[in-house]
Amino acid sequence: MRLKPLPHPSTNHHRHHHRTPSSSRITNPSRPSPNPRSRETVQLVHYSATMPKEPEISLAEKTFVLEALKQNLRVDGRGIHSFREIELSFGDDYGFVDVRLGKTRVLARISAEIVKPRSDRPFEGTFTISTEMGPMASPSFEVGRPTDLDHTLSRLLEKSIRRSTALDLESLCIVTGQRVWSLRADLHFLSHDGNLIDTACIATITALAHFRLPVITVSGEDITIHPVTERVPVPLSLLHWPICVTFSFLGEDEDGEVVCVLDATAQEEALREGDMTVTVNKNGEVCQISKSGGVAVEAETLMKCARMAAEKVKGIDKLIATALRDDEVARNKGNLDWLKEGKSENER
Amino acid sequence: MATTMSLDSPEIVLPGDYLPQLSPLLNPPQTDPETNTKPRSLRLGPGLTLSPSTPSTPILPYRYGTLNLLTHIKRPTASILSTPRHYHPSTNDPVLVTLLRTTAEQFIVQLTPYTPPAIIPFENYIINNAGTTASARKSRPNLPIGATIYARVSVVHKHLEAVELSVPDLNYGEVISQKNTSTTPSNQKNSNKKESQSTSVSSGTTGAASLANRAEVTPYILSISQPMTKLLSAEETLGKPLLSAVAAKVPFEMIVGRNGRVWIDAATQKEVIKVVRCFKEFDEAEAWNDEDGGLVKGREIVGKVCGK
Amino acid sequence: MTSSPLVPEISLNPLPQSDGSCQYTCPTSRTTILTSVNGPLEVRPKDELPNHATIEVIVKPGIGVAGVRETRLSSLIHSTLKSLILTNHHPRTLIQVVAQIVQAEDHTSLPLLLTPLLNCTILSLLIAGIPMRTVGWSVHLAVLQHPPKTVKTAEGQVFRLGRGGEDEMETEESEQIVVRNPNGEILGQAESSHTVTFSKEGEVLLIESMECSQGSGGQSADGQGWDISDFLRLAEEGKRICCEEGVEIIREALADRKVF
Repeated sequence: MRLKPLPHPSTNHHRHHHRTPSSSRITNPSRPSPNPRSRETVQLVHYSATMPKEPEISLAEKTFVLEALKQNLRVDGRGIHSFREIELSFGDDYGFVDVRLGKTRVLARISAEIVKPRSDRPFEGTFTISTEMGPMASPSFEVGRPTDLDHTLSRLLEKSIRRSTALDLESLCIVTGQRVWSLRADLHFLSHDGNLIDTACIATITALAHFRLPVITVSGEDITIHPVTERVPVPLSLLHWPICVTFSFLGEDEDGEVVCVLDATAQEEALREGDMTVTVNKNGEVCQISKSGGVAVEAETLMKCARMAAEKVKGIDKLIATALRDDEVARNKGNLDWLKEGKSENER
Repeated sequence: MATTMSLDSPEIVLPGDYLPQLSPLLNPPQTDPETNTKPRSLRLGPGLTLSPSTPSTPILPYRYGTLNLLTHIKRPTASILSTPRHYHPSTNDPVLVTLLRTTAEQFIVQLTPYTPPAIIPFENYIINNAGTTASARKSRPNLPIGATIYARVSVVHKHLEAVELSVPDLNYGEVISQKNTSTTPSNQKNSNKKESQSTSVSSGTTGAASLANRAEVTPYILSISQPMTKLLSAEETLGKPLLSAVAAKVPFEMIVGRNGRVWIDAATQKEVIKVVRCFKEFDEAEAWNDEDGGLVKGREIVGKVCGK
Repeated sequence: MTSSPLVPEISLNPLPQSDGSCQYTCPTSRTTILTSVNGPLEVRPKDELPNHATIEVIVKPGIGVAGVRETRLSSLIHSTLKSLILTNHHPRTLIQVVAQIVQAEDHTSLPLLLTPLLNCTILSLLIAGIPMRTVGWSVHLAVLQHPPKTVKTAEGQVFRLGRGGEDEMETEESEQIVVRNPNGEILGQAESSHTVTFSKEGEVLLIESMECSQGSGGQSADGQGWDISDFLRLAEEGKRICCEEGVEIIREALADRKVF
């Protein structure tokens, strides 16, 4: 995921896929070996020369985190499988959400415009997700120089949300072959303390569910977009809410098994040896599983993770639904007040 | 409440503000013939700069804060008190640094993330009471990469390639990070440090006893903000409410590095985590910015983390 | 001061991990900006200056990817900051400013974004403790000719440019009004828009003026320009707003920050 400093070669680099279980345990960095590691090391040196360095994690922190995991403890006092508190807040506009997981903070904004559809898909609108990271989240992210995390994140959101057909693209069609809605989700990464993937996914789904399309009337060639004040805008046709749950593999428990933690912090991500993202919806349907290299895990663990993800997603789904309902109530309350005020003014 | 605050706290100055309080100190009276005292020149601390372009107001603040003017001491000193989060190294600061790599002449260490690395030249690294330095290859401590070194800032100059640190005596040096380190020397080391920077915070003798018995506890290095660092360094004043509240629940030892790193040790890992969480949550809530200096918030956090 | 509709909503250090950050909401246009400042950091060798800190300003749009508009905005901010920051204090380092447009009435309108961006950036530099020569403040002024009655403005948001030597009555009747920090609707009816930025001492830091083609309900022809004496009076009033009210806003925002 992130650039690994050379001193911790046992922690794996997310993008390298050629990892065998035996090689992941090697801890001697200077050992010349015919295994794939030597190539990776060269590559890492190359990266570190061109990218701002991630802060070095001290040996004391590393030892402490790994020792604590043996006793099922995490530095922030959380359980191995618990998420940080998820805070959702909405802006004045529809389709704007601010998601916080501890110190990680991501904004998502949905916007829509009317365009001509692609000629090969005349019945479908379009949906794009933009995930450019900048140094606001962490000085190690540079503008115009996407990190591996950038690529992983956009690929995972693409797989999780777009390809799982969460959004009914045909419902975005206005006039076949002529006019369709083009939706885009802009994600802004404000603060990075680990688990950007799950946070970004929650932000995108919540923003899509919060968004309202203005009502349109078509008469012949003319398309009229009714402003929000004139006609109540309509929600998008979201078929289901796929939610990512990322498992980070690091350390060992008392039996020597690799520990898998949920909602890793930046520190835990820097120390992890592998990770896996499972995308599930509240019905327990798996939309996507991604495990690109890293420490090898038992097939059994994978099943356990998938089941746990399904369980977690139920809770997250509920949390999103509650937040959306609360926001709806708050908005309507404002509208009612406004109506009442208007009325009393008229009476006078 | 607002009125009492404005009475208590001196006015905030902004960069470029004229400071009339400094004017009398700029042109000190000629040597007093009766007492034969020399004219005292004003020393500028952090936050103030000489501005040659404005001769009428030669000393100007360059950051926001309050003017801290000390005239009662031998040499009057003026500075701007402020609480930026960024660490600016200054000479003699005790710091906790992470070893990045070792070259032929020096240890290259990380002072703060994303800033240029600092160096500890081997001739600045004292390894025994006789004052032997680590210059000779034989005597050089073999430190693993990622080791934490307690050092002192010796040279800072903006035009120097890197900040230079030193390990001036045995109170400094590598801070144990291995669980296998035997307990006796480490305790001794800590008690040595106590005289300089480390603080052993406990609510009685039980604390020390439990620390001596620890078997495989490892200490933790916590990163905190600059205001929090200042608070923890001032353990008898600013930091006292929080430190005593935590210590009442968990006896612990700490070494504060001015670069925003704190070494924390306690009897068990669970206890270390409790201390770490108390400090971290206090810092993240910016409780030091509360009107009461974080007294209420500190108690609340300690109660939440450690139980009533 | 705080109850005035002209005072922005300011939240200092909303981001826990940057050296200094600020969220700023313009009270009238509801434009919300979030800026973070980090520094002095390690600079990339190619950007290193032997005697000065390198200032990097990145403006990230709320919608879409950064384009010409964002480049323009960041270069305007950069040149303003260059005259405020004492770059010789930290040679061979990087001072990194990132501004995120969080919410805007019109994500494409440069004048509506510039003032909040500048003010928010200056506040986050202050809170980050970056060495500065002085502080500045920016105000956006829109000139409307023959304003329609429907223009909704807050109290104190509108003023007229008094002409020297003429009595009070005449200025009252003047059909030209200036609106401070206009929203998109008012800007749409404006003849010209001026973003003026002054330092605390009254030096001009940045003036960005433009003719608005919509111009007052079509009554004024496009490309007519504006009267220079009117403009000087406008700049004078802008200077007063920046140096008095703006600096007061900064002081008040920082007043409850503890220092020790």
